[in-house]
Amino acid sequence: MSAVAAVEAAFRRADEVRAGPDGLNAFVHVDREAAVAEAAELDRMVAERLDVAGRPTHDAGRSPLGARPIAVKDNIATLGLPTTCGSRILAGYRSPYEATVVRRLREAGAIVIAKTNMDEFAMGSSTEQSAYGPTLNPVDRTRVPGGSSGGSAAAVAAGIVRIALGSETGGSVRQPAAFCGVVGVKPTYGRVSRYGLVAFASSLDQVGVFGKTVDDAAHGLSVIAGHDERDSTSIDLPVPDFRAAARESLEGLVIGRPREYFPDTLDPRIRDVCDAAAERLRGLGAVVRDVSLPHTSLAIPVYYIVAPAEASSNLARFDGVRYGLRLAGDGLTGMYEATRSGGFGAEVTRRILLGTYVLSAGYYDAYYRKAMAIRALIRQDFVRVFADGVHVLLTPTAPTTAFRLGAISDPYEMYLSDIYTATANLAGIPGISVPGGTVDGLPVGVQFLATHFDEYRLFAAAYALERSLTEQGEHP
Amino acid sequence: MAGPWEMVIGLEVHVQLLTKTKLFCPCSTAFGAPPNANTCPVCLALPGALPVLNRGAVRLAARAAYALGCTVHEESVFARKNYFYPDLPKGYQISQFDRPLATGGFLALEDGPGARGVRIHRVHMEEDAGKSIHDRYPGHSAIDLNRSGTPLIEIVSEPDLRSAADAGVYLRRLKQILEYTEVSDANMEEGSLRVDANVSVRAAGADALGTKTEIKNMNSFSGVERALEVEFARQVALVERGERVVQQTMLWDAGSGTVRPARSKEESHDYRYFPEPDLPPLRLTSAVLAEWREAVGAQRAEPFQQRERALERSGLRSLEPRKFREVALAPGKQLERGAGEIDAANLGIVLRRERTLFALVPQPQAHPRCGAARAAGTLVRGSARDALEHEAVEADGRIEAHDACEA
Ligand SMILES: [Zn+2]
Repeated sequence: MSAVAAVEAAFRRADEVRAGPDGLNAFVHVDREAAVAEAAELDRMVAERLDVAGRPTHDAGRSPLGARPIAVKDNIATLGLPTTCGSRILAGYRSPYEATVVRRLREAGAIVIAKTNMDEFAMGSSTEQSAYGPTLNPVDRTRVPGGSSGGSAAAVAAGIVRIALGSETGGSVRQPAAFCGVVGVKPTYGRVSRYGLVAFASSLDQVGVFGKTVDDAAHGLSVIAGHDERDSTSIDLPVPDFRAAARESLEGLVIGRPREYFPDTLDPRIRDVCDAAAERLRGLGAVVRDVSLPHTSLAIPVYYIVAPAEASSNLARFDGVRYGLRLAGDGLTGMYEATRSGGFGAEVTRRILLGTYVLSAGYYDAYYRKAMAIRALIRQDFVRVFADGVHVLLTPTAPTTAFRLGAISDPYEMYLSDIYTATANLAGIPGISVPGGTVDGLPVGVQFLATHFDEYRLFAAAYALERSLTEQGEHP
Repeated sequence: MAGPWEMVIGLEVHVQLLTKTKLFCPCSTAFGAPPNANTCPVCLALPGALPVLNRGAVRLAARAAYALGCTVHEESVFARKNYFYPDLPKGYQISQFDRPLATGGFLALEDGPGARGVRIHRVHMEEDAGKSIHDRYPGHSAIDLNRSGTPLIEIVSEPDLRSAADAGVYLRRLKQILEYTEVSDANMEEGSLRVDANVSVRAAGADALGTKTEIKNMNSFSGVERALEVEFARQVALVERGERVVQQTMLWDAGSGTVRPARSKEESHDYRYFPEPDLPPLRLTSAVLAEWREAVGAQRAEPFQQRERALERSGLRSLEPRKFREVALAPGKQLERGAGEIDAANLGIVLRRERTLFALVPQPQAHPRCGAARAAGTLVRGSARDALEHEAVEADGRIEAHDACEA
């Protein structure tokens, strides 16, 4: 299929499902003409056997992804389409440079057809905290798609694109993937460049990939992974061919089932989906073992100190001086106050205040320093389990299925939606959510976690589970 | 209480490093570009941009630290210093806080063994802010971010100075060290060296320190000395009246020769320091540090006096920069003063055309031509001039004649 045909098909599908503000509200910035023109240019270059730089190439396929429409979360810098982080404070902002991940995708033949809706500055678990209003879950439009990367998850679930970029700070790819019934992978911290990802909490943030299938996610991650000299926290390690993991046998794979992720209070139907998944993998030769990650219950409190602390600093640059919204006030301080009060929504404001508080003189030791110490213990839990011979952990991705729009108004209750995902961000390890079944017709995600830089094993387990479910016609 | 009173002074000196590019991005540090010309997504703090450390700046910072006899640490940590100001684009300055690059140095105030001196508390790296321009457009302030992200070191002394005159000696010697080691232009008038002073008084001989004030806004060494005297007198007068010194920031007004308290907004921030998550800890191997320390050691081995005498003899030291430039570059023109020969070890000339700043620095590695002269123990004026002239013609914007001597 030509690039133009692929892009037009995606837009047709977007129209059918009403991806814009009159429907799913998954797409917040779209430039149809520009996308089609870019596709036409791509087709011309393929026809003339030119590579991205316009040099002759013998590679007839030209690009690892082929001509493929993708969608990108609104907090990842793109040329052309605005980058507004779902926030009023960046209304209309267009980045003069593009994120490394977007550049790598474009060079591989991808065409960005839309920027997707998100909780403002990625702070939320439902995509309701967006200046553009909430995104609806394509599976059930009365429900949230999860968040914060809900727009990208919805775009994939609705069949508009097969690959979309999201970002994770505490589960913002895996949790919406679970809610929408698609695949979502969060790579190891340092595996993918953050250059051009608008920072929320720098020590936790990582770009993630949504895929219609495990193979789509593996494909997308293969393209964006790898060292980038513009991100000093990206690691210079070889990137394996994640798609080759599809051929891996599970014989002898040791799967850990952490008991802290299966408390008595867990919805038994979600537990059953996870246990059934474990049983399938056991049938394929894996060994399933109960393990313990004793500091798990501290993850949410630690996360809600570390992430807001870093956010309070990262979001200081939105001050009305150089770009974005500027509202007049009395003098300089008045301008700051008017701009930031008017530009940030309630949840972002709450977290900036929280983060400012925990870093203040007299409170730093009691909160931030202590949180960092506990964070090290959480990481140590994982290191120990993986050193003990466990290859992959299997857990629920989220404690619930997609909840109804507006159903959760208490911030702390919302934070608990990330209870099984935030641990991986705090520890820096990779995780993936794979559709494992349904409860009352709503998708349930099964999460795999692996040790640092072992995304390959995650994919091996994910491919196997997906294949096992598909072969028996149980793919949701 | 009665005198005699003793003044206790500690100095915090910010110094711009002589790198060609900024601390965390590849933008030029060249002086005099149009406003905001030397900027990029990183130093403009555009959403999503990330810092990448300039290793050359680290080398210069370590060189300065070694020249001050400090221990340079194999691991140091960058931290964010958070505050809002329009010329601080990220809303935080990347600095170092509880794990600085170097600690524990010493700067002698006299020559010879057992000389009096000042302990150096720490040397750390940080980035400069941009500039706010308030008088250009009526009713508006303008921001120039060319300087945003320029590499600085902060050199913090222990409170070991006891007089304004000694503070002056400290600063002049510090400036020499920074020039000789080619770490910085160290020019206070141009802002490449900035001084804040902490001052307190106590009864002579007392152990405990009095309440200190911080003096800012001084723009010459003599200004520092005058400001210290004025603040000392003010504090003594307070104490003698039985009043208390209030801990606060004072601003020096060179015009009136007075200090006044800074408005409360200009002081007492809670900077909410925390480790910079965008940069891994700065790690330097012991091998690299040993190499850097040795390079500085060769320069330190030469006593200042000897070097100063050689410079005086050459006649170059006492010339105004502009004059020096004419003399050094004019074809066929003889040096007007001096013995006409310069110790080759003391010849290395840093030329910065756009700033007409000239400093003489020692060069361990000499140009073949310099080397020949060095072998003879002297370098005649002509060959120095030739070397300079050659470089001056070829280079564009900034010239480093000593590069020729290293080539
Ligand atoms: Zn720059």
